[in-house]
Amino acid sequence: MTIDISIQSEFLDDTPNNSMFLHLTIICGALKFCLGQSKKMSFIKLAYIFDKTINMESGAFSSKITLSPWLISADFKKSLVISEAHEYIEFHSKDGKGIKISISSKGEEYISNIEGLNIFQNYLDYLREIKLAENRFESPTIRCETNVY
Amino acid sequence: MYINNVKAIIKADTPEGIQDFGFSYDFSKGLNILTGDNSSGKSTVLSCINYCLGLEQLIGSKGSNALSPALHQALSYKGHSYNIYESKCSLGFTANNGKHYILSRQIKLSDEESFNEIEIQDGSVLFSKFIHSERDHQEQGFYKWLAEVNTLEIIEVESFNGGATKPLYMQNIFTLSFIEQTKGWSDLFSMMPSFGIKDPKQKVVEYCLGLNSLKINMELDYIKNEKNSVKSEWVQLVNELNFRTQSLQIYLSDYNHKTPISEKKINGIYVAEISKESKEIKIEAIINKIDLRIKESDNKVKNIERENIKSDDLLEKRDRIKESLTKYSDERKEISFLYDEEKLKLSNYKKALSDINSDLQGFKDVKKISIDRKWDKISTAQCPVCDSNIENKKDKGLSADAIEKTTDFLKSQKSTYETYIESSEQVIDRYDSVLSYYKKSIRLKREQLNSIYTDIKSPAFISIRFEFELRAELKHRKNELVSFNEFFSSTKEKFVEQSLNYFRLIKEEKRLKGVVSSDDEKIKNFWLEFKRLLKLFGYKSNGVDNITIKDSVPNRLLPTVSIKGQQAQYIRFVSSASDFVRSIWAYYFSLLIGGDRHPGFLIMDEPGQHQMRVDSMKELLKLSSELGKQVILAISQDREYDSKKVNISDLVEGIEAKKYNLLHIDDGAGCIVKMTDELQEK
Repeated sequence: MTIDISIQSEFLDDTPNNSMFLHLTIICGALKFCLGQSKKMSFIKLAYIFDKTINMESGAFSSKITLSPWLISADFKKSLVISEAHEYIEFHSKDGKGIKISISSKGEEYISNIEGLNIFQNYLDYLREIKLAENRFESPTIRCETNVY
Repeated sequence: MYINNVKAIIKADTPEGIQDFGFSYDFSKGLNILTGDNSSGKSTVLSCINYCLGLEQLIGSKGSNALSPALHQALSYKGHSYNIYESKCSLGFTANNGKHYILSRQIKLSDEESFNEIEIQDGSVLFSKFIHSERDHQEQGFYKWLAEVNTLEIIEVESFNGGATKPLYMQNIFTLSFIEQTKGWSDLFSMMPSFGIKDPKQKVVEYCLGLNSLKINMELDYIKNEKNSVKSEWVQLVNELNFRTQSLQIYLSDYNHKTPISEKKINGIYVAEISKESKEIKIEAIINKIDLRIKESDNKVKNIERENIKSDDLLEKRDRIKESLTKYSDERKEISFLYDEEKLKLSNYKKALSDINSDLQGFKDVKKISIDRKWDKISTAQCPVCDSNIENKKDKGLSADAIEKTTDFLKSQKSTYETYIESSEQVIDRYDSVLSYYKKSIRLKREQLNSIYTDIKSPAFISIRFEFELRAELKHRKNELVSFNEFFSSTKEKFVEQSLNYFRLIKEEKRLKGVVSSDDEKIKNFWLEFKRLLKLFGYKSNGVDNITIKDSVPNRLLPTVSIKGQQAQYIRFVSSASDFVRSIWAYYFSLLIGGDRHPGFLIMDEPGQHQMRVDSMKELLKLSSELGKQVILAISQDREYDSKKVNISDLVEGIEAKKYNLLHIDDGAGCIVKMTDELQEK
């Protein structure tokens, strides 16, 4: 059984950032706009984008050599599994070393609807700006959130 | 080489005084059958061959203890036992260089002379060499001499612990030629001492077949160690750089921290500071900015020197310092908070990682059972997604698909937590150094504030102290960065050095691996010969065509049985006892026939083990008689084959009499008899 989401605009005002709609939008949006040349995304990269986007953190992607500290939240994991269970995204096993994630046609359709309804635009705009290569997560440098000098 | 004669001379204490006993047997170049009743002393005769060659470790321990007590304690003759006073044995052989030699070695001595010496008679020249001590494979050592006269190379091989190399000892090489009566039939090369050599059995086969892999694998191992050492130096350089960047609050661009990268990529590494707006400012730009600020400060000092400082200026400066002191204190609080938060996060993630590992193990275990696969089998019993308790799901079944999917999901989380934890530990070090910087800066600002107060109280004093302190701070920072930049450049040069070294090793490794592949033909021929002999000896346990010898682990270069759909098994585990003995015959004979570097002879003590069939024995003897190489077989005179007693004469039936040499040990007396003039002469 899957859930097909139809969004009523009255539900979308002041959406709390723990809203499943928002989570689904960020997950599908990240998989649509932030893949670069790849077809699938790693769990770690999606976890980073999710955390930064939900907080709309400025400067999270401006450095090419560091990443800002991030949360691997239970909300993210839960929303990811729910999104997959309802076929908005797909998990691909990578030789027994975990999963890679891609957006499904249903997920693409969902994002098109969101774009058409002109909702969560700030989040989608934030996602569209992200340029982040997968290899940044091979041995990432997390920066200290300060500028003492 | 081949053996011409083996002799033992034993002086025993008899009622008639010290008398000489012993034996002497002559061998021919082809098949020799040493026969006699059970316990007649066949093994005693053969043990003297080992002993004279300094190879008694292949039948037991070092020294005379490996030999029968009848050679060094008491002998039995015509129903009487006599204590042995002194004994020695000798061996005449023709070496692979075509020359004849006689080796003599004491077994029991009347005085305290050394046993670890072998006398060598080379024509009219007599000299000795030592055994069983350091350097016995070098200039004055016996084994070097033995190797040289038999044109056998002494090759250095890698040791078991990967440390210094060791020679592949002659004691290892000569296991190609001896199979002892009991333990010798329990496995291939069962009596081979390892001497701390890595994979000694495989090395002896490589040596015998003349495979390139013997030398090259050592070079490959050397390259592997060199690569690891380059990598570890690389990591050390990375750590030094990281340590310095952390203390200076600057960052390096992405590069591989564990393995050397190309020179081009090394040159692309840059250093930057991350501004409050999360923008990168390269180190050169930071130095320029500091230079400008120093210049400004210089100008201020000049202005102060030209015009007397006004108290208004001092007051303004005081306010600025106060302001920055407050700012620093606030920032320190903020950073302390972030620091604590990161530490807490790190500890939570470590706990989460430990839970995930435990869950993964749980899923791995539950996958191995097919009945009653339920959530309660997973010890932590938490939802792998939301970490909440799954009490209510405990009895729910787990399908193979669910296990697979959950395991994959957990593995992704595991790698994410591991990556984060590793990076987070570094950022915590950075927070540490930032906090100590704040501590130092706040103290400095307080001192500056005190200076200003002093200046305000003494308006006559032209204060340039504040600017000096500020300038000193800037210059210090600049010096740190400049000195880091110099260090960074020199590290980059070292990186390039390591990189060139590393890629040279990779190229060489590739070339060597190509050379090793040329061994394939030799291994194939060895395998085909082995299969031919298995068929000849009547091996039946598994189809002979299912038996392979491969240049790959496990059981590299040893025979394995590969039955479709099953994992390959070492031949010993899937053959009947007698068939395994047949495979030992086939293996040793294949090496004797096809080996490039082999001592040249083969001695088997009681090859008819485990209900061996008579037809197999006959084939063994027939093959041995036709090889043109020396084979010495010790076979009981009467033995039960195929449930009936078979005499040795039945086994040699069909072999031309001139093609074998039958040496018969006297049924009554055994091998050790009273020395006659004839025996002495021999």
